[in-house]
Amino acid sequence: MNRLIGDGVENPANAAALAEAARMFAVPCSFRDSRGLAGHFPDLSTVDTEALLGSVGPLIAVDNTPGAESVYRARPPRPGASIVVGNERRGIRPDVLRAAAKTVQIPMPGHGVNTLNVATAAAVALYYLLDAHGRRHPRAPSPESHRPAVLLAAPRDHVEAGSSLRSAAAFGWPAVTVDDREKVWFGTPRPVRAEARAAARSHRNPLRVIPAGDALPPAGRVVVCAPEVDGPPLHRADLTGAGTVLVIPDGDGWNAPPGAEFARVAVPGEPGRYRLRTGIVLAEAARQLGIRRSGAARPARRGLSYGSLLGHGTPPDADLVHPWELIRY
Amino acid sequence: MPLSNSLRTDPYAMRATRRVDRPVPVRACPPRRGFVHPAGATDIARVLDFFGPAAAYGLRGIALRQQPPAAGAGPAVAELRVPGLVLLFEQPAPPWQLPGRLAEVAAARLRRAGAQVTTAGSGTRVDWPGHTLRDFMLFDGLMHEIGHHTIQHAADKDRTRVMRTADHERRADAYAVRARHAWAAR
Repeated sequence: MNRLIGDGVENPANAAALAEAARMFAVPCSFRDSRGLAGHFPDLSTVDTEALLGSVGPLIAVDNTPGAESVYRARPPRPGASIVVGNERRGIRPDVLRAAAKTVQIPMPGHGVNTLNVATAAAVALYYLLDAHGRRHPRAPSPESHRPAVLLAAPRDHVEAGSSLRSAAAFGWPAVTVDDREKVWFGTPRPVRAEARAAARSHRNPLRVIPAGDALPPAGRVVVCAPEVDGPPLHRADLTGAGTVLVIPDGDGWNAPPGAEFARVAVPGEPGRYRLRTGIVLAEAARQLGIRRSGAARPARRGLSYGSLLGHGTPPDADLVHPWELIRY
Repeated sequence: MPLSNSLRTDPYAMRATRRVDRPVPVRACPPRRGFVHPAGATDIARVLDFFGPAAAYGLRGIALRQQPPAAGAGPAVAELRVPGLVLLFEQPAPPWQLPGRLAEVAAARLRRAGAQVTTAGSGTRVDWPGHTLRDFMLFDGLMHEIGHHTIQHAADKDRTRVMRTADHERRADAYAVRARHAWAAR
């Protein structure tokens, strides 16, 4: 059986969310606890360094290190694999990265925010590594013209809403509409507002958050993505296209309009908390949009610069391969 | 008629002495496997200390970075991002095995820095005896870019080029050569 490992996670709230992500995919969750988590959770399942590095199954590190494989293209791991996510700020420790059979990363085209909450990242990685088989083909090239609008419908918790907005920015959405009928984002008391904005990484998050008002954003097609709806699994439904609105409701407090399509967030375990579901939906929509070409990933720098190169007189007629590239291959 | 005594019109070196009040921050990104940063933060600090405020004036930072993804016509050595950010790129661990042949100008630049450049078959081998690779990065990389920076900064221009690019390069190169000679004669 596969398992999820949190390596050096330090925030107890993130540890609880990580355990919930594991329950979504019906896998056990353990922690290499170097940050005193056991003080907050007496029955915390822990694993020591020796047991982690000496485990029978392969280690799969989820970290955006250079050269890591896209999680969208990674093959399902062999049974018994340990999928490791790292500390919120420092990532996975080098001993695990060295011992890992594979390092996968979640492609994030966003500017400003380019990381996910650790539990969201774990849920997305588990979804693609363990669950999302038979996916639709991505849509690239020119993905931006097919990017759907996103409506976060009636989120019930301010931190979950903030974390979902962080995910939206990380997956490249420039604006998100929020139906804030539970009053978790707009017009909240100062402490709530501060927590929500911190979860959204507002200080460097360029996302525009638009209040929904009474009506949906203008759209030709509405796709409601939720765990308990009657529809095809998320990764087989078409989530993209001009004029599409993805609605991600929290609970049953939001009624779908007539004619809406449904896509099921199909996971083998519990439905999971809002930020985990939102992360999976947005990751799948971003995957279906396709990866932008590297040249188009970031606009060219306009400022003045002077570079110093060692120019070639005769262009090489072959590629030189370094030993480390061979090892990686 | 008395001359103006404005502090803003003082010569560049005098302004530098008066205004540089803290060391230039050096940020290092670890190199990829098989690559090294030949000149570390300590080497850079030592060189900047030696050349004093005139070299550090207006610099916002120095960053040791991995090679940019599309380096263009050959391996990147360094870059100045106006205003005041110098990037020094990781280099392959010596000896270098470069595909193709280096341009004559590039090969001469490496030889001038003490490298032994050998062209064999379809590749070029570059050996770096002793500390020559470190000094290459410090002078042909760092001081060359500081030369560019000094030209722009002295003219107080950060959006337009003060002179033709060829002249800019020639002056930055001359600045680096002077710096190398001063360092050797210390």
